[in-house]
Amino acid sequence: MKREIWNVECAIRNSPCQIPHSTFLILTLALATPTLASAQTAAPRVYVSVNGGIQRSDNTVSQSFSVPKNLEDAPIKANADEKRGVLVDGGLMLRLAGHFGVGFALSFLTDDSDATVTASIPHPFFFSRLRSIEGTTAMTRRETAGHIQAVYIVPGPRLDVILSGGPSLFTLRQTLVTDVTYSESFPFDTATFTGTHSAESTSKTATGFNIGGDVTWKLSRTVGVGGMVRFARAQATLNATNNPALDVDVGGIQVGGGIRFAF
Amino acid sequence: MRVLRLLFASAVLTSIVLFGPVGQRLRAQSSRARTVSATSFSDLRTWDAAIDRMKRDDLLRVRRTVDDTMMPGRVHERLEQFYRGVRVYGGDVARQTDRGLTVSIFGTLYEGIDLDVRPTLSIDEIKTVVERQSGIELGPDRVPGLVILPDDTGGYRLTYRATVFTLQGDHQYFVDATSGAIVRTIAGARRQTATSAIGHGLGVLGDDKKVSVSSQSGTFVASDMLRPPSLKTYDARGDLNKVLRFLNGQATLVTSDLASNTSTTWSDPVPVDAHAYVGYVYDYYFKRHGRRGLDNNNIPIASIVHPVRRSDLFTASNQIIGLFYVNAFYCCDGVMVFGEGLPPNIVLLPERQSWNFLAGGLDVIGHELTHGVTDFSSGLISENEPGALNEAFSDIMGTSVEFFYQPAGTGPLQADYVIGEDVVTPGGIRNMANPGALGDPDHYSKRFTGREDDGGVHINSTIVSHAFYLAIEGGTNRTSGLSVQGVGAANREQMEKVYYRAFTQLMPANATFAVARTVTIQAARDLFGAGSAPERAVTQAWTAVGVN
Repeated sequence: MKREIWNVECAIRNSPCQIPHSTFLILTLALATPTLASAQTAAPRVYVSVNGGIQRSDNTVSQSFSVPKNLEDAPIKANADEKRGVLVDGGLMLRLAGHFGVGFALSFLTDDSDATVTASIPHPFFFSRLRSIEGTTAMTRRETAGHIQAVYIVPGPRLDVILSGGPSLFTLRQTLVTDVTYSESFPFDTATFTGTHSAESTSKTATGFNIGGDVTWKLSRTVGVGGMVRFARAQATLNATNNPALDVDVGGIQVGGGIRFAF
Repeated sequence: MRVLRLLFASAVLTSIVLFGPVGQRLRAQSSRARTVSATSFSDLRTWDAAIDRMKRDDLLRVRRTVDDTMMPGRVHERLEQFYRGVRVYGGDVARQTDRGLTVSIFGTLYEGIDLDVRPTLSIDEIKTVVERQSGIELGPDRVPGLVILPDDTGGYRLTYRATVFTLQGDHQYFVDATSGAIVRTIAGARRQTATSAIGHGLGVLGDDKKVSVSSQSGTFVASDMLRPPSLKTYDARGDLNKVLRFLNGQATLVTSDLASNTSTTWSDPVPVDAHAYVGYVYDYYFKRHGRRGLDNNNIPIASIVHPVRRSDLFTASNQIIGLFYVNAFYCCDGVMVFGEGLPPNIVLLPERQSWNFLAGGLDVIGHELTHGVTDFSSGLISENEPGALNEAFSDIMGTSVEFFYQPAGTGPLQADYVIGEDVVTPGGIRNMANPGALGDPDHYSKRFTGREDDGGVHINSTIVSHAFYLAIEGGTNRTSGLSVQGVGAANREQMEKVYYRAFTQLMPANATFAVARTVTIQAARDLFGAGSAPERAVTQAWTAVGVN
């Protein structure tokens, strides 16, 4: 077998060429669609996408801090799993030359979840006598991300495929627990969780990366529908009253679908 | 070291300090007093009928009916004896029922009263007599009340009873309502030597503790707003006249008299300990016995610290030293005063003991507040055997409070059976484990029978408190040689409940030691059953100290 002509022959003969799957995918798509040279007159320069979707991640917010209560430190912990949020995403891409171009996408994530809160409240009458309380509190998370992308465009008569990757800039607005509220009564040997005091903390811009792909099914020359998959990640730092600086992961796997425009 | 040589021969001083003279004979109770001690079915039936008849005839009036906080379904009815509408001093009955069925009746009733209850003298005339005798002007709230006083000869006198606070302590004067003669005086025996905020400070022994205070206009004052009753600690700042005027109802203490501090870190250890420990004692009664304060209805408690200045010690009379320096006392209606102690370089002869601020003794405060509990429950009379029972119960509860909060041991801030050992060093004030170590009796045969110390109320209390000790720890009485199988320190709570129940629910006001024996045994049966280990321990302990 002449391995130097691997692409065409392997594809045509359906023989085992042992090439990477991603490369195979790209090449298959490229071969299955007209070459850019042959379709150059029809290839659009501007691609616009608007998506709705979800973001999946293993992000957590784990707070551990203390507030003074009854002359002692009351340790407080709050943990929230930010597994899935609702995503709105819009992108603009420009084909510069051949298959290559640049793009910018903006995504907004909303994630409302419950945090588990535990705290140990010092006794009002005695030192070193802590009373445990536990409860949940609502937390909101708002991620805004700008994705700067280098793109590789594979146009086709019915299907456009765009591969992208580049740096991402994240801003996170996150509700953080700053204190707990509780009820107690004489003789104060127990306390009951009643809620939290929370504050919305906004991080400074955090820099990360993104990589993904977009597929468009053309309904007409300029309008289509499509789907996108993107993985974006960064680490943001939050600050809130009573809390030490808190590093949290932002981003995740973003999956969405929506409308496409090409000009 | 300088030694302050106090005149212990002074009858006044010896009557008010915790030590006391020994000797002489106990006065006999009136022969017309009838002791009620009914626990058998036949006795209960007889006395139930008698009590109901006396209630109908207005010879007994219900003073209080309370649900049992320890045994659901049980009710305690306390009745006071009256004769033609006038209270008979010392006559009362405590009846315990279980869902309507009488379980026990204890009490003292006086028979053969035949008096004209119309007084010849007016209340104002009586006040004049008392003021002339005591040298104290009584305030408008100190109104003498009419009582029938049983006397030592078996007769009865119509008297007015007035309470006066003097430098010798609180005194009850019984003034003949016809002649104006003072027929009896009982010295106060109930003594022993805005916005909520949490403060803290070092106590008398240097231990850091929290205090529940309140914030007012940027200042923190010793007013507890977290506990159900009002608990306030006043700083008299050495103004003894003000203290006396307050105790006699001639002046009130106001917010500016409260102990205060400009920050939450309190610098004066005396109000820190007084305020914190009063709260501890309140909590003990609530947590252990379900009791809400002295009267079980959250009566306010006012504590007074610094009634005198240590710097005034050498110009103070023995009376003042004996009461306001080396003593603490429960006055009345929830008011306590904590003695100032002596300067560190002064010891008291002959024991060569140092006296720190009395507020630093948790058991001391437990003792004093328990006098309030007694006042509002059994009302044990403050002389002779009832008075010794009164003092013993205060020691028992004071010690129990100590064990509730402190680890067992013999050092400072550790729980033991010595009263006041943290502030009166070395040795403390009374030793329940070994009363003889401080010269007090451990057996009924050694009881003090003189008239001093109101009939030996402090001295003879150790016979009772030693029985309590034996019932818990077990051991052998040094005088009788009889051994007791105690319930063990791990089961201390059992005995605390037995004694609490006995002294607050079942005990009559004029109880003798023998009645107290029966009452505590009944309480043990109520709580733990006949033949139980607590009942056996209580019974053996009384027998070991010679009370049968």
